Amino acid sequence: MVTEAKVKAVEGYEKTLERWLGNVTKEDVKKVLEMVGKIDKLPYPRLVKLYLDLCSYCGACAEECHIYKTYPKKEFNPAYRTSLLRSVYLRHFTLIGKTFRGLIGAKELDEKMLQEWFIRFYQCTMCRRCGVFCPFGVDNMALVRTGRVFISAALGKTTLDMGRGVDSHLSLGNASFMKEAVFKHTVKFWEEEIKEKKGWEVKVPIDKIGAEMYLIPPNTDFFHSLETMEGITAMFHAAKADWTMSSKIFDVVNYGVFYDDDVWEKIINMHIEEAKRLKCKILVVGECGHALKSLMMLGPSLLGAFPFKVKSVLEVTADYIKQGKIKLNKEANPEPVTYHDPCNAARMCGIIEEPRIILKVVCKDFREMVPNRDRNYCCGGGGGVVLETASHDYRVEVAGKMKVDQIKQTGAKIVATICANCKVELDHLITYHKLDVRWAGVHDLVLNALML
Amino acid sequence: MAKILLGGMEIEVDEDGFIQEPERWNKEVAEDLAKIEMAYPMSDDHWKVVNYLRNYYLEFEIAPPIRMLTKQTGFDLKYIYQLFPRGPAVGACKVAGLPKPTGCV
Amino acid sequence: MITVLSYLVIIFGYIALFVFIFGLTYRILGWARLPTGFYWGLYPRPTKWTFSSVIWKIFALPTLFTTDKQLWIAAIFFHIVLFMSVALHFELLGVHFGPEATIDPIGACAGIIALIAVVYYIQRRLGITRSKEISALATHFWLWLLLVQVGIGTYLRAFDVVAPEVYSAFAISVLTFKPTLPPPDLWFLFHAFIGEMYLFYIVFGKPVHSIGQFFSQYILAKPERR
Ligand code: HEM
Ligand code: SF4
Ligand code: SF4
Repeated sequence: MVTEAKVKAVEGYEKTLERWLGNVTKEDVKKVLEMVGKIDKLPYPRLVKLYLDLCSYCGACAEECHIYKTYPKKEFNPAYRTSLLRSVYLRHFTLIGKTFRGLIGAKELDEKMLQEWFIRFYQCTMCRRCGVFCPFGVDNMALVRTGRVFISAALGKTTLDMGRGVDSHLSLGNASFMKEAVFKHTVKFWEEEIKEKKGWEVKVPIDKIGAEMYLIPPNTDFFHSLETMEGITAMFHAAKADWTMSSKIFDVVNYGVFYDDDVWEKIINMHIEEAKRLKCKILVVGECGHALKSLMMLGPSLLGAFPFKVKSVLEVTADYIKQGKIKLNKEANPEPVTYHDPCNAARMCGIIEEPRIILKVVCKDFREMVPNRDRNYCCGGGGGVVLETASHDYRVEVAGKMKVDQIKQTGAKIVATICANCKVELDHLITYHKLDVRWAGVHDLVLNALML
Repeated sequence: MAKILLGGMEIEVDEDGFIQEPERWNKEVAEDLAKIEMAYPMSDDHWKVVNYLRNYYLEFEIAPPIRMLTKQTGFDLKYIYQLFPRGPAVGACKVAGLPKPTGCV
Repeated sequence: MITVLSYLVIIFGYIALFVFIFGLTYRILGWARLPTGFYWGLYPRPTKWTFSSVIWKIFALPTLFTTDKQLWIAAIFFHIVLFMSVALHFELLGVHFGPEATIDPIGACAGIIALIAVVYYIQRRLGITRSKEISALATHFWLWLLLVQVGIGTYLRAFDVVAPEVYSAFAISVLTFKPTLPPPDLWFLFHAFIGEMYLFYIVFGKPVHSIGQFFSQYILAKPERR
């Protein structure tokens, strides 16, 4: 049901987005149009061209989008969202579009349309659920990202906090204005925490050249979910792993994934260079969804194979469990636990069974939510939407509503996940909807269950 | 950037209402910010959180990990949300006069 | 009227065939020449056997089955009979699949099923908001025209209006660049003319999905390489 609160939340965020884009001029429109004309120059032109050509507007995708299902208005229809790009492409760059125009849905790019682009593209959480269900394999997320890329490349515009994060990243090497001293202080704090909780003397190896594994977590975990870092550290300790962190590059997030190819490339190069400097064999990505996508999928496909492997920390832990390298006690997590599949980890990178392997041995009562795995619903914060303070109401009222219902249905007391963005969004959902649930990283639960 | 009246002074704030001139922060400014953040009147517990954030910020120029905050104050996250309905990052940090934390917070 | 239409069918036929052949080649090359770039597969992905999984996705539409069973049924039936009728159209080139007495009823039945499916497509575009709100005028136009086309085709089959030898002689004459006048039946001429229009539509309109899909599904189903 579309309640008044939902209407207000959506309108509020739409106004904010409009303001962030600011006034657009004819000149801006021309610049963006130039980008649209250079589709062939994108790093992924074939799929963009296909997705522009193939949609039949059958509407199947709308049935599968958590946003449209919560708030069925035309503007939230995934195919409408991408038709904004498609219609402009038709109108300006194809013969039939130039000839038949509105009759076949071709539309001119003008100031108003550009505003519409910005709003609609940044409302999508880029979860790709619609892409799973399209009969023609049209992946709307790819077009949404392309639209964002056009605006960013032509006008340098993106959403507020994402832009700030990237500024910080390009100058300091992390997205949260964090200096080395803070990092080291935080490391010390979580080492002490492990000592208090477990009684173990653990040191986090820093800048250890030649270590087998180089762990880069999302910076968010330091602030928002330090227990995850404690869990990973303790897990490595218990498994006697040869690992390290870096005092320079300790943030794996890469917002370029969401909106800009140049930014993406600059940031991923920081990760690659540091991994090379440390001469690691495996770059281990902490509990983070989009970074995994960046390093595991996009990176190698565009920049060529890396001289090291990329793994998710979930794979590492699951392997240790299979090999019997760590001992875990289920009784330490007696409460019912459910698992939220982050879109980027599950649909994009196939990290689907690993967290389940782990959860089944670290907690007594593990329950699936439905739908799950590659068919999960987005938490409501994907695609960089959760980074914006201003998107809060839109996220909790609309984008995350399906997730709230899903969590309620399981009756679980803990919802575990493996993505920093999801954790923040879950935190907001749980608080706003007053759920009797708490969120946790999978390694938070591992920490409780670990034994030497 | 807008200027708003806080503690009897015109102070510059960013678009989410975080003050941009941290050196002008004082008790009255905090209380006015608390009114905006639905955290007024401020109890001892409010001040405990705010003072901790403030001191950490003065030392490290950044907000502390939430875990550090809950440990040092002895309050759990739920209680912090009760004190500051918009949570530690947006609610408490704003009242304590910190710049807005960035990156998934 | 009949004379005018006859010439139109011949002349437009050449244009349509030209556009169909070169247009389709152009579109296919348009996709094929571009690099795939970013690796944007979707899990679960096959470890090998990509080809069979792509074929399964294209011909069985498993995900559409989950999402919208009605559309799935309509699409499956529509395309089966579509392929049947396309096959039967090879009679134009003198290929015969069997005695007329058995082929004609089969063709007519296929036509009737196609009619039902197209009526469903139209009803769906008009009745289901999530499809209606994004459909352009042209989409509706082509669907209604399809209804007319399939209707006439079924009528031609069912009542054996024009003998196969007659229309295949005409088609072959056109294809060998020695065009003769088509059989002087108004319905036949309409059917031929609209059919030629559909050659354009296949290239520039939605039915290009019949080919584009082989590219797009392959991108999504590229095998795992971790
Ligand atoms: C290769 C296999 C093909 C598959 C898997 C396929 C799949 C589909 C699906 C799922 C739909 C329903 C979606 C919708 O309502 O738009 C559809 C509609 C349609 N298809 Fe196909 N198709 C194929 C080949 C063809 C061919 C060869 C043609 C014609 C030359 C064609 C013509 C149409 C038409 C006219 C529609 C109706 C579109 C509408 O609703 O407006 N298809 N197809
Ligand atoms: S499901 Fe695919 S073809 Fe249908 S409207 Fe959505 S994107 Fe277009
Ligand atoms: S990617 Fe996700 S949020 Fe975006 S349109 Fe598709 S289902 Fe909706």
